[in-house]
Amino acid sequence: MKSFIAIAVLLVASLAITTAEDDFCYSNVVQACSNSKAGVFDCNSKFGGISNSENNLNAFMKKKLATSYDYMLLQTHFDSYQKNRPGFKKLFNGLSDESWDETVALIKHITKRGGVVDFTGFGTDRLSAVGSEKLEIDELHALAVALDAEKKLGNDAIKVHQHASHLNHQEGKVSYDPELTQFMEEKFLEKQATTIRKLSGYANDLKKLMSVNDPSLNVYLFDEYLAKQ
Amino acid sequence: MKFFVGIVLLSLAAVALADLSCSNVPVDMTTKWIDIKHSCVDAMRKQIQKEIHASYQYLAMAAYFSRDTVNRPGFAEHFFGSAKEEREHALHLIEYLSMRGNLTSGVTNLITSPTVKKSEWSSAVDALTDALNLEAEVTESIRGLIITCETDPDSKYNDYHLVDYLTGVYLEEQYKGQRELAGKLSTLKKMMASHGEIGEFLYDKDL
Repeated sequence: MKSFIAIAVLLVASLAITTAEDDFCYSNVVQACSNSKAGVFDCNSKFGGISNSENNLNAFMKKKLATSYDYMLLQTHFDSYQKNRPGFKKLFNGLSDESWDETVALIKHITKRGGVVDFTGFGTDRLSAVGSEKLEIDELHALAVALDAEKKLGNDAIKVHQHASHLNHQEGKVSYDPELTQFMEEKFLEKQATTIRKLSGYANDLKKLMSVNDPSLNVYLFDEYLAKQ
Repeated sequence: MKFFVGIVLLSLAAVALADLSCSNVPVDMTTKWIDIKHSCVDAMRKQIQKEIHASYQYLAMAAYFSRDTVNRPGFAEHFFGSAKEEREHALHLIEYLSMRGNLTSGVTNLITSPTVKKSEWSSAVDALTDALNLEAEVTESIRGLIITCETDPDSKYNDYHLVDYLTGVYLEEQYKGQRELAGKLSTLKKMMASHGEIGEFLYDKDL
């Protein structure tokens, strides 16, 4: 009897070990192959600390997507015959397309790492939803709105990175995920810095050009410059 | 003296305000050339939102088929492509309205973030069926838009150019796209009855 109990305890213990996260798939396969009616078959692609970053990634993706549509509206605004600024139109068209491509890249990466993409709760991240701001704004204001938005997105990217970096390791849960930090660095942080610097330069140039009594000609020339970028 | 200081202060304030004259007021100019009717513009705006909604829905399909445990990269790429196409359809309609002298105001609420109703599908057949129904819905909506734009309820005005564009470009794309989806759906469905798993697996790799 005693030996039977010992064996039973050992069996339970070994089951507990094999159901540890790393061995999930194999034990499921073993179970599935010995009993055709076995229920769970969990062979996912999760490893490292990705599970603790899934929400951050989803939130970042949703912000990028919402921002891409706000840039599309700014592009629309500068494309009207009243504004007629092909340079600004081109700038915001480029920003919109980039944000869209980044949204797709994020969706692909979330699912690459075994995550599920969350498609609920869009609409709170719109630029136009910040305060009662409308997007029918002037050239310098539009550069400022875009610069602020990109800086916020840059900081959001850093938050995703920080959560997955070793700095966050003491929380008890495993969040450390160098694959994710590398992805954020390569696909987002460097790009964000480039976009932010570009917009900041434009805003400073245009502010200088507008410090005259009638800036209409200067804005026209600056728009022409943007169209050639 | 007080009065003088007041004037100086006021003029200083005026100079400070005039330092940067950022806003250029809309130019007062002829609008005779803008002949597109309100009813048609409103219908166009609704269509733009509909295309955006379709784009989000396709993005959700693409995300579903990208999952590790679903693993249908062919279908995922197909739906990523559809999502991008719908987004471009919306943009081209927007650019058309600008070309016709519209969208000088009311831009901020032109696009609102839609609610995605469904983000999981039981099979590729299930998703293709939804996609085909979604396209049929968009087609029906474009037909309604055409009717609105060829007979304005008040003036009976016919917007020939827009109607031609919608018929020749948009309906053309809708019908070709629907036929393509219908073909894919029928091919896949034929295999599903007795070769479900291998059928979907193989078909995904051919997409």
